[in-house]
Amino acid sequence: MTRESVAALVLLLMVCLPLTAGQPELPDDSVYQLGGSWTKHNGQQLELAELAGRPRLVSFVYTYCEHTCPTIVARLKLATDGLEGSIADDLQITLVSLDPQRDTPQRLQTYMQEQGLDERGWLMLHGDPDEVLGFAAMLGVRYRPMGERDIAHSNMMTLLDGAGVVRYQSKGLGDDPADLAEAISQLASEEQ
Amino acid sequence: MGSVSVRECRFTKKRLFCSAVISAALVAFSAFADAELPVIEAVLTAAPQVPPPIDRDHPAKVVVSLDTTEQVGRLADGVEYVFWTFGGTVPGSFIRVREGDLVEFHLNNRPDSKMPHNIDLHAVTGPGGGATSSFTAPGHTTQFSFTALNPGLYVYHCATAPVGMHIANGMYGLILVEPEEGYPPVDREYYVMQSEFYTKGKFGEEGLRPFDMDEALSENPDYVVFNGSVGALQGDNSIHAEVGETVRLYVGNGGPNLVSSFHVIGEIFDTVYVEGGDLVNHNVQSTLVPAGGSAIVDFKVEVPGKLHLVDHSIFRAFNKGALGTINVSGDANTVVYSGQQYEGIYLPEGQAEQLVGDAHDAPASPTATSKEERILFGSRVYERNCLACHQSQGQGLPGAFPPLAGADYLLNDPKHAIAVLLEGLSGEIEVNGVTYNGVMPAVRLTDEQVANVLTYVLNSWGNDGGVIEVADVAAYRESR
Amino acid sequence: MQQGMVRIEAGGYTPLFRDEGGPPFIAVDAFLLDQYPVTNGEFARFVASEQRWAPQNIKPVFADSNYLAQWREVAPQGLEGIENQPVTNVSWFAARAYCDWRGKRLPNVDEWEYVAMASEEAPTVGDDPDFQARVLQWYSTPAITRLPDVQDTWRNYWGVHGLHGVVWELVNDFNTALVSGESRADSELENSLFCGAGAAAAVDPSDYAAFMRYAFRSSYGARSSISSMGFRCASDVPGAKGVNP
Repeated sequence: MTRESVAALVLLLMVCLPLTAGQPELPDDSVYQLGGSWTKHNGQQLELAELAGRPRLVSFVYTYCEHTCPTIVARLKLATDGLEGSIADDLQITLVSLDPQRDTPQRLQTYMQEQGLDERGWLMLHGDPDEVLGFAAMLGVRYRPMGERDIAHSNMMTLLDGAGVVRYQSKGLGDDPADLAEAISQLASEEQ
Repeated sequence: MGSVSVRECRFTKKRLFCSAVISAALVAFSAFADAELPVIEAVLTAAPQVPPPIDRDHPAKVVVSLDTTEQVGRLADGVEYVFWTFGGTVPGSFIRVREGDLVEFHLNNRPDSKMPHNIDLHAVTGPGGGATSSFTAPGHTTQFSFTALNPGLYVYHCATAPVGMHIANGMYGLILVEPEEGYPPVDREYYVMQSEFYTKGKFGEEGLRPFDMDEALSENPDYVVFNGSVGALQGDNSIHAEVGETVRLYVGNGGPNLVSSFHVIGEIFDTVYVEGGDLVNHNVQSTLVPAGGSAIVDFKVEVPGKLHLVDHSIFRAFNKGALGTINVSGDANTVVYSGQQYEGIYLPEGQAEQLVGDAHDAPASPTATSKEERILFGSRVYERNCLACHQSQGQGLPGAFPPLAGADYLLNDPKHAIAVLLEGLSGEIEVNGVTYNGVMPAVRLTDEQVANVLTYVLNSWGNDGGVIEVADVAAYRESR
Repeated sequence: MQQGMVRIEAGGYTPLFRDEGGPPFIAVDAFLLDQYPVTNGEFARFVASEQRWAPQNIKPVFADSNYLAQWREVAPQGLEGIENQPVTNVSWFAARAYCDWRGKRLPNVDEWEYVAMASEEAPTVGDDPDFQARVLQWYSTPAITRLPDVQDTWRNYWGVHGLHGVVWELVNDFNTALVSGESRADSELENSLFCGAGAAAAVDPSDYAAFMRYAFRSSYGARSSISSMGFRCASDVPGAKGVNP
């Protein structure tokens, strides 16, 4: 094998790895290094590292939220609605529930249906409180129960590439949606 | 006035310009500007020095890198304090940029800091003046950028909770945004910033003095100083100018609580940029500098000697440290100021009545020969000595000074009033069911005057009469 | 009870920020707390056993580059001289992993603040201005380069050493401090940054020491390693009501 072809193969592997099924080696700066077990809205178990392989837009919400959560969900819809090419298929919006007690997987499933969130483009995650705390801390999300029913929390949206490396974070609703769009198209161009 | 209206026109023009394009173009502009602008490392200076004037005619990207530190330093001779600083000094480093510059700000919190810090620059248009974007844990660094939209002299300070304490410990400084056309050139520029310190212990009490929360809350500092410590602008640290030169002071007030009545003894400010903004005033003696505010003052020094910078809330200057000195050297100009030309004895015509130390030797007042005369003479004594507090109808001032009219405290034992007049009174007393807790000083009166004024009081405003005789007063003095 | 831990009886405390409509007093169940902060020596034993947390192996998502920086300075001599000092420059992830390894957990904010109210003589000092002044004075003193051995630190009513006056301490739910870095507006949630209604009012605006701890907790992230920040572990009392954060 020539040096060029080895290089080409390595390059090919590097490009393809995040997209291949199975468990590729995660880079050191992947948030999926955290590990941990979760349950999907459809009841299936999931190791955090299995989220690798597709780029993701991650937000933390809870389904009974009456404040800005609906706005976040709307923002996420907007951010992905006009996408074209492979990124449109690959990018999966991932909503992590901050309220594991009330947001059972069944409740998450119902919420997806109510909101018209399709399974290809959206994923909701249920985890035990400790896992939620760890993942939130990893992404810089702050949250705190307020009163009986509410959980105050950061309005963050995090764009992860297929390997789980943070590519962009919108800290709040005041950030320009164009910045998120630009980060997504940058990611799309790398995937071509 | 001419220059003011020119600035207004320009300002108005800019406003129009801004409102038309700011929302659409600002993001694009900054991205564009970032790529195109020359990059300059900001010159930072410690007070009283100021970075050199900006001679650019175009905007630039100015990189400012400022450390936050926590360190022990000198507050006064023998007195140390743990200062929290921007750039290792109090006040913090002077930052100088030009209107329209893109400022890339790096805040570095030293690893040995115990506190997180951030920075709110009043020159920033944006949330928290940058505080939100610059919140920095010890051993970490943060970066944000802003465009200096408005020219002027601005305070910056730390805005981390508890904000008051971060400021009280020294976290403030000045950032100058020069207008595009610059300020008129002067010969010398200096950086002066006033602030207060609240310490456990009194002014001058030696040792390492910790912050005193109670004093800060009651806004009662032990120290009010220029440039971070007593004497920072005096003696060897005085600032200097030559006769005939123009001097500009960039004056800031870090507070945290007090407003400064900034004044230079022996000078008149030819020009004041009021509150550091566009409004120009001339021929000003003292200018107010708000806490968290500034002023730019220009003056020409005409004669040699020492000019003293003070906060003309004058006890702060002479008892708490708010003093600085400008040494002006050069030739005297006796037309502007002559110096002393004569000293001698002054003997006015018709010698003024002399006050003497002992009331017994006070000049004779008229001697009453009847109760009516006592009341008449007593009313004059009352007007001079009592009326200010107890009021014209003896009604007193609710909450402060008790009434004399119909006052049970007085009328139940009129002779006790002699003691009150001669000895003074302090502590709680109850008058007509109301408690007063004030101080009445001893009044320096002759026995005759005491008898007269008390007789007047006992026979006025519905009080039911009685006479105090001179003998009663003398008897009390004997009994002491 | 695990060795080196003391039992903290049930009680409660008044938090710095009181949520609108929320309770002014937060109850805390009985729990166990390490008597001393975790030391460099103890942490070295953890790292020797769980090599992924060693300074040379730790992934950058779990700690920033200050991680265990004090070990670099003394590296040739092992940990000589600092073995019994509180370990600092540890990230929240690493502290959590340590406590997990010991079969414990990090204390939560409520637990930590409750224990921090105790003076030498009483579990709650109330308004003792002397005690508050002492705590405040430590906060306003620059960080010391040479930390004391944990045994030599101040002991409070519960037998807990060094809670004040040595290092800041990590808590499990540090990220419940919802701030924007703009401390003056933090009594109300910044609506663009945080989802939630209502305001939280500071119960005692003059409790500067509590403000400082709150500000400190909101200044660091889960990766932050800070030279004046250490930790200790807690655990539930078997049978006591759960006190999950």
